[in-house]
Amino acid sequence: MSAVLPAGQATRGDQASRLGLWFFAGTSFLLVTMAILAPLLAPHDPNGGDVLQVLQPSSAEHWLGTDASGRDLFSRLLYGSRTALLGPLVVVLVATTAGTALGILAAWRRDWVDSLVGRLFDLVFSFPSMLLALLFVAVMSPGLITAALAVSIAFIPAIGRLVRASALREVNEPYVQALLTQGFGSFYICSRHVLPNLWPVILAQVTTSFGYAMVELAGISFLGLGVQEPTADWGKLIQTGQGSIVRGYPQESLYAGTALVIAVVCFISLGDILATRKNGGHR
Amino acid sequence: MNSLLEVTDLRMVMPTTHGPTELLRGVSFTVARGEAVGIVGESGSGKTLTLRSLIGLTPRGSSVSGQVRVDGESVMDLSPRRLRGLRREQVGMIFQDPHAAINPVYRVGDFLTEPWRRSPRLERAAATERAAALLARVRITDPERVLASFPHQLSGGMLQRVMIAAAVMHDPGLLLADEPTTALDVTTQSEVLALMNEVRAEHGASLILITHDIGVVAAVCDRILVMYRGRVVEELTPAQLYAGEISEPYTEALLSCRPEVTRRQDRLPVVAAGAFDERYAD
Repeated sequence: MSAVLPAGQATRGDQASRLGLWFFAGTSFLLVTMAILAPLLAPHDPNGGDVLQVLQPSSAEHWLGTDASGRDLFSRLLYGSRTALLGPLVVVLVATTAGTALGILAAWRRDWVDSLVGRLFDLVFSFPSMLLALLFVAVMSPGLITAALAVSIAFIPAIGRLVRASALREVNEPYVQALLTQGFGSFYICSRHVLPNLWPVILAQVTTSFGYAMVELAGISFLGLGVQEPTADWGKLIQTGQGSIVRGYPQESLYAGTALVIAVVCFISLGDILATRKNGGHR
Repeated sequence: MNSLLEVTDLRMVMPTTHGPTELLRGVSFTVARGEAVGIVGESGSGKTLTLRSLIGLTPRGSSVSGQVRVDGESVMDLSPRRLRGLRREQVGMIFQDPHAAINPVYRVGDFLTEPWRRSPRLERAAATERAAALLARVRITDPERVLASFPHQLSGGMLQRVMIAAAVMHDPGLLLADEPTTALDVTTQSEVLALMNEVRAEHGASLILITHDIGVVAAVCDRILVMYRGRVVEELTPAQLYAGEISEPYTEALLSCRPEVTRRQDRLPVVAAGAFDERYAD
C-alpha cells in the first residue's frame, strides 16, 4: 500500500529523490547506450594490439592510452561495459524469476513447502557467491555465463525472501479470498493478481541487485574465473592492469575501476530511490 | 421442498498453542431452493467459518468433519477442479468490504470480464458487452463509466452492486453474503439489501445472509439461525421473532442488546463473555 500524502505537501526530500532518480536513471541509460553502441563508438579494435605502442599515456590517438599489449584502453573500456552489463542482466533475470516464483509459492502454501523453501534459502545464503563461482567453474568451464549462473543462484534467496514477505501480506488481502470464492485457481491468482501488486517491490530489488551483481561478477573475473582473455571486461582489466601499476602505469586498472564504481553506484542508488519511493518516503 | 443445501454435524477443530480449539461444534441446517436464511450471532460464533466451509474454504491447519451437500454433492469430497467449478458456477459470494474484495490495480471492467475471458474464453468486446448487461441487472444506469473506473473511484454502495453483479454472473443457485452491508452507510444499506434480494429472486436463488443486525435478517429472510460458540442454538421465523416466541435465553439476551427508537436507554445491556457457556456446553 502506498501512503497517500495530502496534495501540495511535496517535501524537500521528495524533490531531492526526484532529482536523484533522474540523474541516476540518466547515467544508467547512458551506460546502456554506450554498451550497445560500442562497435560504433570505439575508435580502435579492442583486441588488436600494437607492440610498438605499449603503455602509452593519453593522446589524441589513444584517448585513455594503451595497455601492456598496446591495445587502446578507451575501446577496451567501451567493450568492457558490454560484459559488465550483460552479466548482471543474466543474473537479475535468472535470480528474479526463480526468487519471485519461489517466494510467491512459499507465501501461498505456508506449509512444509514454505519451510523447505526457507531452509533452501538459508543454505544458499551461507555460501559466498565466490565459493559458488569456484564450484561452478570446477564443473563447467570458466566464462561469463558460468559466473553469471553462480551469482544468480547466490542472489535467489535475497529476492525470494523479499518477495515472500511482500506476497504474504498480499495473499491475506480479502480480494485474494474473493477470487478463491469465484473459483479461480491458485496459479492464476498468483500470476495475474498477486504478482502485479508486487511489481514495485521487485523492480526496486532488481535494480539494486543489478549493481551488486556487477561487483560480484567483476570480482569473479578479477580472479580469472569469469570472462576470459582477450574479451574486454572491467574486472579483467583491473586484474591485467595490475602488472603495469608497479611499472608506473596505473591507467588500465584505474580507469576500469572508476568505470565500475560509477556504474555500481548508479544502479544501487537507483534501486534505493525506487525502493524509498515505493514505501512512500520511508525506508 | 427439496433442499439445495444440507449441512450435517459440521465440526471444525483448530490446533492452537493451548491445545485444540473447537471452532464449530456440530452445525446442522438445511436451505431449500429459493429460501433466504439469515445467520446471526456475536463475533466469533462461527458464522463466517460456516459460510466459508460451504464452498470448501476452510482455514489452514483445521480439521473438519461432518457433511456439506450442495445440490446433492458432498463438498468435502470434491476434487480441487470440481470445487473450483462449484465456486465459479453454483455459489456466488458477497463480502463485507467491497473495496477490499476487489484487486485495486485493475479496473472494474477487468474484474467483471475476467471470469468470462477465462472459462468460455470470450473476446474482450463480447465479455465487456456481457458485463455491461450484468451491471444493468444490478440497476447501474451508466455501465460504461463504471466499467472504466478503478475500484477506489466508486462509492461503497456502487462497488457493492458490482460485487453482487460478480456474484450472480453465472446465475448461481446459492448466494452467500457475509455482512454485505456492514461497511456501507445507513442510507445505502437498505438499497443494497433490497437489490440483493431482488436479483436473487429473479432467478430463484437461495440466500444465506450473515449479519449482526437482527432487523435486517427479519426483513429479508424466511428463517433465522442463531449461532453461539460454534453451534446453532435456535432456529426461528421472522414472525416468531416479532411475536416474541423465543425459546432460548441466548436469543433473548442478543435481542435485548439492540437499541430501540421507542425506548430511552442510557446504557445498552451486553451479553457477558461466557454467560451461556454452561447451557450450551457439549
